[in-house]
Amino acid sequence: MTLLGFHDVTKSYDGATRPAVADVSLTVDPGEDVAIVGPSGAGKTTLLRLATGALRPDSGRVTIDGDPDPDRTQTALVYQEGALLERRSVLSNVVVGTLGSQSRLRGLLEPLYPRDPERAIQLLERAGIAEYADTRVDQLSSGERQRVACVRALVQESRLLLADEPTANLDPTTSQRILDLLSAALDDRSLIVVIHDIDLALEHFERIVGFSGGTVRFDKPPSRVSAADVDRLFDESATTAGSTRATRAQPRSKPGVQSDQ
Amino acid sequence: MTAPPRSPDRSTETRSPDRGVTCRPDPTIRESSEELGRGTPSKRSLTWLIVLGIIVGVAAWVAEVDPITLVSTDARQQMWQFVADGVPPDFSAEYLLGRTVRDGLLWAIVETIAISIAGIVLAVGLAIPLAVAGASNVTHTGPMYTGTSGFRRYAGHLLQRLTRGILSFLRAVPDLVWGFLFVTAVGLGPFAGVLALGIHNAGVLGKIYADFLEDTDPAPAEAVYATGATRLQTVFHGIVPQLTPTLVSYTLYRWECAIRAATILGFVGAGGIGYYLTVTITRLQYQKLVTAIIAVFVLVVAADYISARLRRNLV
Repeated sequence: MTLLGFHDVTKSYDGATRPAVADVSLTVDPGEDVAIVGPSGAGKTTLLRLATGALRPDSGRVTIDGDPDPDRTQTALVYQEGALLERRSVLSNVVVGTLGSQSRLRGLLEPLYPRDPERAIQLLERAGIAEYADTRVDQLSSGERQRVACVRALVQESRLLLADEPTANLDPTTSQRILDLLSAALDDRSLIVVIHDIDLALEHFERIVGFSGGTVRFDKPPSRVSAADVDRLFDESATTAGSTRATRAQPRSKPGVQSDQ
Repeated sequence: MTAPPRSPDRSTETRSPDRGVTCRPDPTIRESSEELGRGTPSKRSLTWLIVLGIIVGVAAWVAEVDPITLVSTDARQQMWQFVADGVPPDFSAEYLLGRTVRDGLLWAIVETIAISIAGIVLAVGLAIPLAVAGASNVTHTGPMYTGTSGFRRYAGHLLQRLTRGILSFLRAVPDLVWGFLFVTAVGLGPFAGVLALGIHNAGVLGKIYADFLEDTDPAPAEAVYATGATRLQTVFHGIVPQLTPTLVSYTLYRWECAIRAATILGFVGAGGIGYYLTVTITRLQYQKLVTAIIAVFVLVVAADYISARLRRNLV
């Protein structure tokens, strides 16, 4: 049974010359962990927001468990740059993840006066930031903030966990830690991570989806991803998208990628 | 219903080796401005200066501005007479405390402060629900309304426009006029003043609060809504927490304005020290008038000081 299904999905933004996501079909099974790699402006974030329902496709269908209009609690997304509430405490931010399972009335109080923050605290401990539970988010470092964003998504206990560049601008140790945190939640749950660092993707994930110019360029296990695949991924984006953003992404590191033979 | 594409990944931008950091003037900029016929900056500012001069001239003519009258012998004599009549100001206990304290000038000062505080509290109470209903990202746009039916969004838009209209009306009618209206409704006295300040400032604060709500970052709201939170929960935990102490600071500033407004509400019988101003003017009791003016001055300066202190502690 497919958990997440993209069926011929196209999505354009107002005023854009080409669709951000063009006719994409992709399925993810329960328990799979997938890395989506590709240049900036490739449409990766759009893909994730389509999966959460924050964006609706212009055409095609996005399904969760076959349901084209799923409950919002089914997916949890770690936003790029966190999308945290700066003036609230870490715990308050994390407890927001439980709102989907609260009653309407209780949910109005919960983030301010959590009734049973045990699970949230546990996850904060596992992320190594439990000591900051009462600290305001705007006083944390970017690595700590990313971990808060991850814990908020994890506490949601949804079946599909998505993360948008959770390791952007972080040092290797912190990146490692964040990916470990996210994948530790896997059982029958699925994880999809948009990630810039190809080495990190190849090391951590069992399935790599190359995405550029709004379409899937390749979709294979890391052992079969070649240097040429990666080269083409960034080259194609430079020619098809033609945006400066995409060209700038071109000279990315490729060491560690298997040679093409 | 499209949100703008998210910001580009910064990681590539900062690490990219091929980005030059030298700043060279962009020749296209000057070309384009000349093409549009806007001329050089100095020419443009000269044009603006002339336009401004014309506006000021017309305004002065319409308002019958005539500085000569002000410095004429007659005017100077009149003003001098007023000052001479007002000195020394009347600081008698009878005037300050009255016969029963409640009919003295000091009580009127206390009453003015009370009107301003009660008025602002009422205004905040009214402004909060009006602001929520008047903010488009609460009623019909933004992350909470992706995939919502057109009818639902249309209804939200209607509610938002209607609320904005009400807010405009509340603040377009001056507080003095509201005071006059409420005096006829609830009778002479400070309660009419409280209602007047409350209603007028609900319009002012409601608009500001709604604008602040609309200015918040949609990303945290989207993140909260995406967890499965209800819309009301999203407003409380995704949008409202983004509001800054600036909002409280602005509310305090409005209290300052309210105290100034409360000093003249007495002109229409809505309580406060304004009653003394108008009565002493009509009865030509200039010594008493000067005392009242001094009281107003002290009151306003004190309010400025207190509000500034509070705001400094806030931000």
